[in-house]
Amino acid sequence: MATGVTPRQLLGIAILSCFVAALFGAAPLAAWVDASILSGTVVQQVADSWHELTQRVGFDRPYEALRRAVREAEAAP
Amino acid sequence: MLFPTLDFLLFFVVVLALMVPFARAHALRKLVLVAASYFFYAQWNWHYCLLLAGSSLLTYVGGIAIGATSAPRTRKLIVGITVAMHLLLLSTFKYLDFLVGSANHLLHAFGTDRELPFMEIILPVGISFFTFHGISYLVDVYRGDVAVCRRPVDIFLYLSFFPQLIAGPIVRAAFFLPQLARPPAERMPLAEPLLLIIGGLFKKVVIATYLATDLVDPVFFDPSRYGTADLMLAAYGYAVQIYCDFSAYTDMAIGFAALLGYQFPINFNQPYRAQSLREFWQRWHISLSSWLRDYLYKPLGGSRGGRWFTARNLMITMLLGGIWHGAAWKFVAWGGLHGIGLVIERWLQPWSGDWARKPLGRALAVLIVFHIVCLGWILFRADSFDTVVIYLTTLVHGQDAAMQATPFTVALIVLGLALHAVPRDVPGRLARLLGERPAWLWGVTAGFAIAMIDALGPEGVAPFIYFQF
Repeated sequence: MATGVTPRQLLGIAILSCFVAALFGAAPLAAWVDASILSGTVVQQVADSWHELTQRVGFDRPYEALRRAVREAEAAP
Repeated sequence: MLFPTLDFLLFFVVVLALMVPFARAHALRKLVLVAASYFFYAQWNWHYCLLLAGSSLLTYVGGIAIGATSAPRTRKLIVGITVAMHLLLLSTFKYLDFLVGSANHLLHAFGTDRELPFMEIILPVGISFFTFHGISYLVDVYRGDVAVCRRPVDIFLYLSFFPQLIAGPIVRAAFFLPQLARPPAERMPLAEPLLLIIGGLFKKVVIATYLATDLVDPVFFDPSRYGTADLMLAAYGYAVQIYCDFSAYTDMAIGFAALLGYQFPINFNQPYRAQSLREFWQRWHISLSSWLRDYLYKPLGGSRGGRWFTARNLMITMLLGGIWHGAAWKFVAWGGLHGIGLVIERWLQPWSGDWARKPLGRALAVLIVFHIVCLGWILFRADSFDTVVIYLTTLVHGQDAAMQATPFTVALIVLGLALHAVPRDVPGRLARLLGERPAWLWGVTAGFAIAMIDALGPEGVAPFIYFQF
């Protein structure tokens, strides 16, 4: 039931949220790693590979479509 | 470390992970939360963790000392000294350079070349909030509204708890300390906190940030370049921006605290629907306005005297409430504007008659109050009084100029006002409606929403407006 969860379940939900956010938002994740102290480390390689993988599978499409749409709306005179 | 960042998301997941082994070890759980809160605070400036700890120690020792005696004069003396020490800390770190600057202006005006040296103190984030927490506890102990807290960890957590540390809400000791005294619930709410967090993210990342970058910041940077329409829309835009910024922070703070098993009071209740300035302050930054009412306005005598006595108390409260927001004369002027408005409103009340209760009268009252509030926001947002003068004269006289506002920014203002009109119990009702959904589905939905809100927002997110206070 979602109305009340134990701390352990909550942690599981938070990790699941992070995974889904990373799945559909791999581009900002890679950019964040690049801008952080992890830049140039193996973590950045993993983040870049993950980004490429999500692009290949097409998980980045909702993110890119939404970003494009809002940029167009912003630029409209 | 801002709420709408990956840094904070990772930090929060680590905090949740640390909560698992200590779910039943109540005291250790609070210690972990104190450590997490100090880590969170140290991300801005670790030196100021000492200030936060000092303020907490002062609050703890002060409470113990007040509780140790029953002699009214001694209790009054102790509460006076400890509150004065809190105010001294706040004045030193927040207002000293402002006072030096003001004194130098005065010296120049009298034709003196001498200048007092600036201390160049960096403002510790959240100092106004944790100072008010400390004062609230000490005064409540003195009044007998809250029991003396003998567990230092509770006081340290009360002042430093990271969801409210930087920009409130100002949680009363009587509201929060009893929550720390009992073990947290074994099951945390999920749906409502997640809805508050996601809604807050949207308001901050999308509405407040775009309005700031695309409309408000350029117009307020140089209002002389813009026409009446832009200036009007920028004022409305800032009204929506500051609401979406600050209420978003509060919503997220309430949501994160709830996920950790603690409750915070509400801080906003559709403020722009107010039909009077008095009502506006019952709906805007409720935790601050009720704090000022209970710890400043009422002790000054409130409305228990004559007309002028009440007016004096209102003006003192609003002027001090104004300068609480920042060490600048513009905030004093902003508080003064609201104070004068409140006084006039009180004086006009006997003549308002029946028309104020009719639908047209109510609508007109909302419109007038909203525009007085917007006038105040111009003072609040402008960099200087010169900018305010240019802004208002250009607004009144008008001029032909290129439009800064676009359909996109106008749509954001409308969307922000529409979200503002959503009753505050809607997340709770929605959560109850959707509460039967499996927990994992909430995890997937929250993750997807976070990614999509990031897609909708511009690059980078500015700090919350209230961080500077």
